[in-house]
Formats: sequence, C-alpha cells, structure tokens
Amino acid sequence: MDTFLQVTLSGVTMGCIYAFVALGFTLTIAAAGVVNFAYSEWVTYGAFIGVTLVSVFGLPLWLALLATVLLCAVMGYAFQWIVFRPLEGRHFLTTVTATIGIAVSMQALATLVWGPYALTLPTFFGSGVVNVAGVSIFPHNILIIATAVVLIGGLQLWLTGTDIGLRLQATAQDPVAARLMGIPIRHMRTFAYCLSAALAGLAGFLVAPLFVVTTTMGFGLMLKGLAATIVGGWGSLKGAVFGGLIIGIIEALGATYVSSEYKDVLSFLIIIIVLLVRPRGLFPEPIAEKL
Amino acid sequence: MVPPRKSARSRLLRLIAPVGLLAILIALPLALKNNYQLGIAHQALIFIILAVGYDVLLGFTGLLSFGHIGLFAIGAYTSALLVMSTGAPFLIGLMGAAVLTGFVGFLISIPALRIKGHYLTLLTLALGEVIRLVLRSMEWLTHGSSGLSGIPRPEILGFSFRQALPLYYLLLLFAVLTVVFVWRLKASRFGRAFMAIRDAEIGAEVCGVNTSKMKMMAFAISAIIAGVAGSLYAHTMRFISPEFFSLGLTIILLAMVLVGGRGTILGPAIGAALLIALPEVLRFVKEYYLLVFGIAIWLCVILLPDGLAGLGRRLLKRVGLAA
Repeated sequence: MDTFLQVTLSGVTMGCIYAFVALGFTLTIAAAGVVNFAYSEWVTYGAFIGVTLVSVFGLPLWLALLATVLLCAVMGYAFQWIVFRPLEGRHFLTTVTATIGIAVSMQALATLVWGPYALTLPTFFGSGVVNVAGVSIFPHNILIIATAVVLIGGLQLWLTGTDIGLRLQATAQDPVAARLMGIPIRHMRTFAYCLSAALAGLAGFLVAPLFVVTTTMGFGLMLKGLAATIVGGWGSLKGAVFGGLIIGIIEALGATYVSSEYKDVLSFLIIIIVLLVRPRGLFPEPIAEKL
Repeated sequence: MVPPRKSARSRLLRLIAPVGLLAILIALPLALKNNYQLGIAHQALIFIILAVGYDVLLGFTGLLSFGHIGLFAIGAYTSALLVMSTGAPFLIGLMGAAVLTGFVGFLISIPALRIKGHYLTLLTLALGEVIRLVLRSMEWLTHGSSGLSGIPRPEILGFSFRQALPLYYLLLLFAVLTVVFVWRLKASRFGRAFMAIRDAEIGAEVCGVNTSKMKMMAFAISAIIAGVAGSLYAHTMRFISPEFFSLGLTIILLAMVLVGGRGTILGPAIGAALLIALPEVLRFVKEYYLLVFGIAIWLCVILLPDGLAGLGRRLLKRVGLAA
C-alpha cells in the first residue's frame, strides 16, 4: 500500500508536468490552429534559462522562476511574428515540418550556448525528504502539484468567467465568427502564444530539479504531452489536463508493477488504444474541428 | 497538374533528363576519391530508395506517417537477423525483410483507415516509437541498445559485394528499380487512384475508387520499399542499433521528401541525395550545421511549397516562355 501511494504521488507529479506541457501545446492549436513541434525546445529553454539565472546571475529561485516564465512569454511573443504568422491557416503538414525545422535549430543553438553537458537546478526546499505515514515525500513534488492545482484552477475560472477568457474561447471555436463579433483575434492569438510559452517555461523550470537539464529533455516531455493531448482530446484544454494526469499515473504504476523496461512503450500503447477506441479522445471538444 | 499538350521539346527533355542523370550516377565513382566518399554515396542511394517509397504514401496518397522509420528498422533487423542467425543468403534476408515490413505496413493500415489527418500522424508516430523501443528492449534477439554488428555485406549467387565499388552498383541497381517501379506505379490506375484520394477523398470515393483498399495498398507498397531499403542499409553499414532509427531520422526523411518536392519521384530522390551529402559539404560550418539545417527546412517549407522539383519546373517554364 505504501509503495502504491508513493508511486501514485510521483505519477501525479509527472502528470502535472505533462499537463502543463499538454496545456501549452493545446493552446496554440486551439487559438491559432498551429501545431507547434518547437514546443519541446521551449520547455528546454525554460529549464536552461532557469539554470542560467540561478547559477550565473545568482538570482534567488523564486525570482528566477518568475523571470524565466516572463522571458519565455517574451520568446513566445517574438516567435509569433517570426515563425507562426506565416504558418497560420496553412496545411498541417506545412506547420509540422516548419516548426520541426525551428526545433532542430533551437536545439543546436542550445548546444552551442549551454554546451552538451547536463546541468542541474537546485530545488526550493533542498534535497530533504519528509516522511508522512510511511510515505516519503519530496517537497518539490508537492510544490509542482500545488502549482498545478492553483494554475489550472485559475485558468479554468479565468477562461469561463472573465470577458477576455470567453473571447479567447470564442477565437478558438471559430476565428471568423469571433472577428465578426468584434473580437480582436490577432490580440487573442498573441496572448495564446505568450501563455503557451510561459507554460513551457514553467514546466521546464519545475521539472529541472527532478532530472538533469539537457538539450534533449524537452523532446521526451513533449512526446508525453502529445500523448496527453491525444488521450484527452485534440484541442481540448480540459482534456490536456486530465490526459496529462492519466499518462503520468499509468506510466508510474506501469513502471513499478508491470515492467520498468517497457515504461516508455506504455504511454505510446495508451495513445494507440485511445486512438483506436475513442479517436476523438476522452474529453472531446463539443465543437468539431475542421481539418 | 498535367499540361494539356506536351511540346516536342519538353518530351525530349523528359527523355534526356533521366538518361543523363543515370549516366552521371554510373560515372560518379570515378569522381569519388576514396572509400569514405563512396560510403556517403551508398547511404545516399539507400535513402533515395527510402524517400521515393515514402513519397508513395506522403506525396501520392497524401497520408503523413511518422512511423516510416520503424518499418525501415524492421527491415534492417529482419534481414540482418535472418542472415546472421540462420546463415541464409542475402537475397532471402532481403525478401524476408520485404515480406515482413509489407505485412506490418498492411497491419498499420487497418487502424489507419479509421482515422484521418493529424490523428493518423500521431498514431503512426506512436507506432514508430513503439517499434524502436521494443527493438531496444528485446535484448535476447536484437542485443538491445548495443546493436547488431558484423552484418555481412551482400553476396548474390556467389558474387560478393564486399568491396565498395561493386556495392555501389548493386545499390544503384536497386535505386533505379525502385524509381522505375514508382514511376510506373504513378502512371498506373493505382497511382491515379492514390492521387485522387490525396486531392479529394470524397470525390474519389464517389467516382468509384475503393479508398480503403487503395490506402492499404499505398501503405503496403511504401512499407515493402522501406523494408528493402532497411535490408540494404543493414548489409551496407554492417552495424545497426535502435538509436539510429529515432524520430529524428523520420524528420530527416520527411525533410528529404518535402525539400525535393512531394509526389514528383525525382524530387524526393534529389532531396535524399542532397540531405545526405549536405553535412559533408557543410563540414566547414561544423557545429553550426544543425542550426543552418533547421532554418533551411523552415525556409524551404514556407518559400518553396512544391520543393526543389516545383522550383525546377517553374524555372523550366520561364525558360520555355522566353525561348
């Protein structure tokens, strides 16, 4: 039972990270119809920027986290003008290939700037472990889960309760109709890109202390985020969150009780099964997308 | 797409271009200085086969699969294991690879018929990753991540292709056969059905094209070609490991077809040769290579939607108008 709780906790932690990644990935799909395969590099850059701010500039961790998220949002803004504007409304194949090209370049740039070696980021609470009822808890995990709850809850309230949130939803559902209703969809999209990049930065920064920071770290996370997107439902924000949690928990349980060797196979098998049984995902968007 | 009336000049060009290209390829070893450069040429020929086969799926039928490298990997492993563990001749290994990948491609196509667009892409991405991870985890058969080494070079009816030069001509033969096969396929009833599915699936169905059957066939044909390419790769490089067949290679393959121009046969072949040779040519930029490579792909996709083949066609048209 203790092992089960322990494993579930670490699964939920990773699930929250996957949920962040999937959420950011879905945002640009929903708001602008852009499938951004360079997202992996945004996550990587988030981690690297965090490490740089902490170890080179000596910023305290809290400040570094805020600065990282902010810098990533700026990066998203810059990307919009350079990379995404020409891609909006283009064919899926075009967007995917172009953003993959960008990802390759960004990864190469990261290797040039930060070197090929793995870096580490300290945690907020040291490496100590707290024992609660026989379950040893790594405080950083709790921080990740708490951030996820606050952020995703806030996002949900904001999207459904505020004017600007509703406008963003309208843009996602039907850009043309939204524009006819007087919603500045350009601004909405700008906002979605920035938010998406900020989430990537946050995910990168939070996941860094659990592993090491390398130039390839974002890619694996993006694949899991992608799996979460599919399991949850393409373009659905709610689906991204639940999909992320499902993938994280199943992966952790599978690694412990089934086979750690086939751990990565597991999440891909989930994708395949979900796609075959419920091709629109577990939480499909009520408004069908056009392809 | 097809011009209404071909002038005699363009028909002549159509005849001369392939023959000229073939002549250049036959003479190419004279220009290559050492075995290393011949090795690059070997790889280029193998990837020409792979890219031209991939184009049947992507360019003709309009199905974007991210699992193609998985089929390539299955082909390589099947052939290598058949030859190494049972001592079967190379051709048996090659055929085994083709049959097995064809079968796997057919299996993949069954679920793929039910889903479309990016769902298909993501499904095949997952399948490709599963194939790679399973190859890595099946230590008893594939030696896991340390890979298979010491795969023998091809030998057909007692004639050994161990030397680099005979091997080059063997690979060239396979590449030419593939290109001719795909070229004939494009002109056939099946090729037209594939392209009809790409351009207007519902329209094709209304006109009596059995879209399910045709998609299955496109999957199977491109899988068989991938299997052949995989087998040739294993026996040429003499070493294979799961890490080589990663998603990164899928991306490079995709770039070959898109940079060359999808659906044009010659385009993907040129794209493949270009992308294999490019790292060698761009030696001087060293670590900046990937940086340049990524931006080049991005620019290519945005500025040349029809790839190099489309650019070439446009230039030819301009010359034709001027003359």
